[in-house]
Amino acid sequence: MRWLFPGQEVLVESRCLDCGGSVRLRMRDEEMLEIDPETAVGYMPSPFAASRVGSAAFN
Amino acid sequence: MNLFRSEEHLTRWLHHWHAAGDYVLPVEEWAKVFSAPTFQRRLEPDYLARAPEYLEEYRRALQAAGKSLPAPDRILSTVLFTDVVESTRHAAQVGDSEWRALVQRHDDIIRGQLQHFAGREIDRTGDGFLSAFASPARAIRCAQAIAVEMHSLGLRVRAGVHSGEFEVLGDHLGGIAVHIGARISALAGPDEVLVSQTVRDAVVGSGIAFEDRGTHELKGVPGQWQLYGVAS
Repeated sequence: MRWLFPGQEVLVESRCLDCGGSVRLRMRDEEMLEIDPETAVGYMPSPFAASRVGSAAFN
Repeated sequence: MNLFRSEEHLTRWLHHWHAAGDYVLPVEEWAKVFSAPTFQRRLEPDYLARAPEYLEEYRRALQAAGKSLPAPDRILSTVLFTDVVESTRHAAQVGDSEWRALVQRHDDIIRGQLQHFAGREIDRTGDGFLSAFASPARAIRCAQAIAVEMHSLGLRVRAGVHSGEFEVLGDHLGGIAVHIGARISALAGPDEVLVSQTVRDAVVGSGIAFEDRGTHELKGVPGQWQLYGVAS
């Protein structure tokens, strides 16, 4: 959020992809002000994943 | 980024993907990773085109959070470098406006031949192109066709071809093999297609003939490199 909303407090209200339960984040720049639930994790697939091996782009 | 209420929820969702753990962080850690300068660049209009250049920054941001990117994918491929001979002199002779038009026609010729020989444009390199091919013979034939067609513009090109294993960085190729191809191209004369021994050995039986151009040191690349000029 640092780059999009510098210095502003940002609220993210999302859903868990597994159970659909609420995931709520409140943050300013890179500082997390609130995480609900505290056990929340983020998952990001890499754009350089192994699935690109043998990509048709280079064959 | 996808959010989960806990790692247990994520594990359930990704139960079949063993590599998932490499990319899971508590949200506080992701917030720090996303504060890296490389993510600010995502707001720039040319971000996608330049993304491979930012890979190292992304890698460092992940490392600071205790994670690492997977090793880059590697593929066997053939690269062709082409470059206009004495381009600065030509540009000075004809003037900026006409030179721009010439370069546009030069680019059209190369892209047309790449399409014909099933090559893929990887990058522009000054007055030249870096292209990739699945077949070294097609790369050679493409280079020859480009050299002949450039005569219609009053231009001459030099070309270098090398086969090897390359790193796949998004839509780009990287690794030492790219540098080898560039160095080989730089040693080629006007209208010449210069290839590495790897390429010559790979196309045995294709009917392509070569002339020995001796062994060379390629700047920054270990060892001696036997090079060959394409004769026919």
